Amino acid sequence: MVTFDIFAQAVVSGLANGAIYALVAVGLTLVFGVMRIINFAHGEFLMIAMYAGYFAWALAGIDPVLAIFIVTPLLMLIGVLLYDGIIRRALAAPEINQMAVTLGLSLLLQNLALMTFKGDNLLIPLARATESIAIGPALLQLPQAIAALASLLLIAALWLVLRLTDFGIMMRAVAQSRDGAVLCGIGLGAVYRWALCIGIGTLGITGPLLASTLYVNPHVGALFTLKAFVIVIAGGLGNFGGALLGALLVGLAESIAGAWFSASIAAAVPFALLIVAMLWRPEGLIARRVAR
Amino acid sequence: MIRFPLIPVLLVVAGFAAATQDRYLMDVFVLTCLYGTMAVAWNLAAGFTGLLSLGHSLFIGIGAYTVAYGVTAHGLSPWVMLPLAVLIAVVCALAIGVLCFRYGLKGYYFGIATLAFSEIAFFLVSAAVWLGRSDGMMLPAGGDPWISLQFRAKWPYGLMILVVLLATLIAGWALLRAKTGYYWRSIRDNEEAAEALGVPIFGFKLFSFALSAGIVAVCGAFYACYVAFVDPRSVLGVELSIQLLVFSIIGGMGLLWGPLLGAAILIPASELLRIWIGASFYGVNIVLYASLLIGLALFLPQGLGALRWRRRVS
Amino acid sequence: MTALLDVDGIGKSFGGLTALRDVAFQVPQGAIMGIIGPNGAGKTTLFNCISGLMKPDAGRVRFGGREIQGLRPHRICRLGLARTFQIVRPFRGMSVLENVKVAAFARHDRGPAAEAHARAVLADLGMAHMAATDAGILGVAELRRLEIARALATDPQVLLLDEMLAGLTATEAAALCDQIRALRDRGLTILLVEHSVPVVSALCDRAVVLNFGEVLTEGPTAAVLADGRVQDAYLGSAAPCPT
Repeated sequence: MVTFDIFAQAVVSGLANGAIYALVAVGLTLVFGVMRIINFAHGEFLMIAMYAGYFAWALAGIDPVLAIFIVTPLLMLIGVLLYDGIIRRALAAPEINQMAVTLGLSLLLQNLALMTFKGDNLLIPLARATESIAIGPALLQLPQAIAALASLLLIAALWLVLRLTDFGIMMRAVAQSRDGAVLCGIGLGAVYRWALCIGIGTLGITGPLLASTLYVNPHVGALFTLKAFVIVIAGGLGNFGGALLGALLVGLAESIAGAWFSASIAAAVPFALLIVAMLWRPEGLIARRVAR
Repeated sequence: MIRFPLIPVLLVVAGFAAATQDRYLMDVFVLTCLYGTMAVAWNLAAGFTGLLSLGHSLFIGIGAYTVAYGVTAHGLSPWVMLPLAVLIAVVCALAIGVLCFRYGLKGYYFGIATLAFSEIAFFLVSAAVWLGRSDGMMLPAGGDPWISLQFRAKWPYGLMILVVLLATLIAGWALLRAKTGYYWRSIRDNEEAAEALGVPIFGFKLFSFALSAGIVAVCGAFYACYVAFVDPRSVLGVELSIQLLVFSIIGGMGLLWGPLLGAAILIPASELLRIWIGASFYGVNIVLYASLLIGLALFLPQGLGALRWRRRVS
Repeated sequence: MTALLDVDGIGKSFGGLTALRDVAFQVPQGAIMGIIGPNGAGKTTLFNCISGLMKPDAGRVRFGGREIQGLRPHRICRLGLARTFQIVRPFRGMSVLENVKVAAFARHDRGPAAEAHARAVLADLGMAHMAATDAGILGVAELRRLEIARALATDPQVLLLDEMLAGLTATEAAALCDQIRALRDRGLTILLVEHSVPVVSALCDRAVVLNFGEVLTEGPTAAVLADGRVQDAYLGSAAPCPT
């Protein structure tokens, strides 16, 4: 029997989870929107960021909120290296090869992590992890609240960057028409490099915050990659608002289905949502009308 | 031009003959042929028709679970369940195909949509009590081995999968050199041009996807008999679908037998690695084959099978 | 002469933008007919509506007396109406012969027959020497000829050519013009979209002028081009004659 209290709790945790999903998905949607490459290894970079956050705490006692300022530059650097080392070469290849490259990268990173860190579950046990905020009859854990807040701030910041800066305008131009942007004298290489730098860099914020609410292990990223796909495609490519909406929907649906059915069925819900979204609105939930 | 894959066929037959000498060798042979067949079938849709499915584990799982369910719950012979398994897989493929093609899902989108369908199946089966949930189902031994398909020896399995593989290669060759193959490849290269030249793209895409699904369902049914155990992770997981892509990329997607070559390199190689390095260093063999995959996808997009072929052309 | 292709009141709009309004004209059997008009006049959209790539919102297209609007492109092709694309769309993973063979399968179910037919078409167009070449490495002029070869291999009665000459050198364009005339002399009816007025005046018996999605005028080429309104629509956009 699902009481109102349980339902309210499901809504609150669903929205909080959704905000965290959005935090993972914005980077993916940025990269996909600009470069038209699906990065199957996105979740593995999240996994790296979570390990980085964990070790910053375990070895140097740095609070996850502060670790963001160390881990984010690190992840941005990884993004640049990823572009120059691998993705740049893959751009000219057919879609299937691009898929193979990022899938291979995902397998590679997961198993390198497995060799280095073993399969153990690690967690940053913070004192504040047990504290909660009461929202009506429902409770929200403090670390989750912090992550959700960070997610909203990050999305707002990215949106402003894309709207207001020259760099943002260039990026949107490339996302809309690669050829048109080139004709206007925009260097694709630089835009792509920055897109990956920022897209992967956002995970530097997510990782440390998540490491205090979720166990870190080599396979933690794969879980998020699939959900982030669902969100990015449902929300529309490169559409931040759509990603946020999609993420909240996925989080809510999962959490409410979890209250009614088993966890396993709840896990299937995002994928069912994806199929509905793709068939119903292939261009994304809140896509603008495009005249041809 | 599509030549008859004579050398691969001879090598596979020779491989079977050699493997009859040793139980362990036969195991490697069976796995190679099993994954080779599935990858060849996947590549008929992905490599030759441009339908990059990331959800083929759904059809493998349907094959495996249909047989496992029939055997454990009703004591039916796998021979009875096999046609049913293929039928269910083909119907599912047609339904998914009609949905995706009608809405014009292509490339990545088709891949992700198929992935979503297989993930739904994965989670639903993991929750279904009558299918053993995530614990899976064990197939009981006993009865006439040629009816229950539970052999003590390994060679009957080798023989069976050999037949399936050869049938797949011969059927694939016959289709690819005929109108069907030309239509598939034209759809892969440019759908609109193909349609303007009289190719009924909807029907030929459905045919390709359903055929591919039917073949991997046979393989899934075989898997259930061979391993005598099915669970969602081993027959419905994303990893399985991705493996088919990996074999195909490494062996070469432009060749009918390219995916078989990929399987014939990677499966024995990872067995060898496991023996040399030992199970303690878990993950090493995946690290190696992931590196190989990235390197090949970047620097030899046609796959290993194209090495010889390219030299002959130039 | 009877009308083989009858375009009757075709309309098409995208969102709020009207691309075609009440477009009507007839293509007589055995004619070379040109559709001309400034950029954005709706020429390619019209082609797409005739060949089935797009479904017109209004109107009828009759081919040999049969209504074909709204049919799928492959059905229209099999009825005997083939088209080429302005932006060439070769099957890049196949050889030139294989490209043409795909089209030949529209008339021949068996491989050897289709291949013989494809080879005959290539020989006819003087392309036999490139049969084994990869379509992915051809230049623009050769890709245009491949487009024509593929369309011809479907044994059409009507050939729709979309801006075949754009981007070609004067010599290449002249050779292609000769080839188009030769096709007509063999009984094909040809409808072509062309941006350049001189090409149309050199090649076409009749012409339709589209402007902002509507038919401005239609008739024998010389009369159409002498029309003052046509000159206005085209002011400043004349290109040098390639023939």
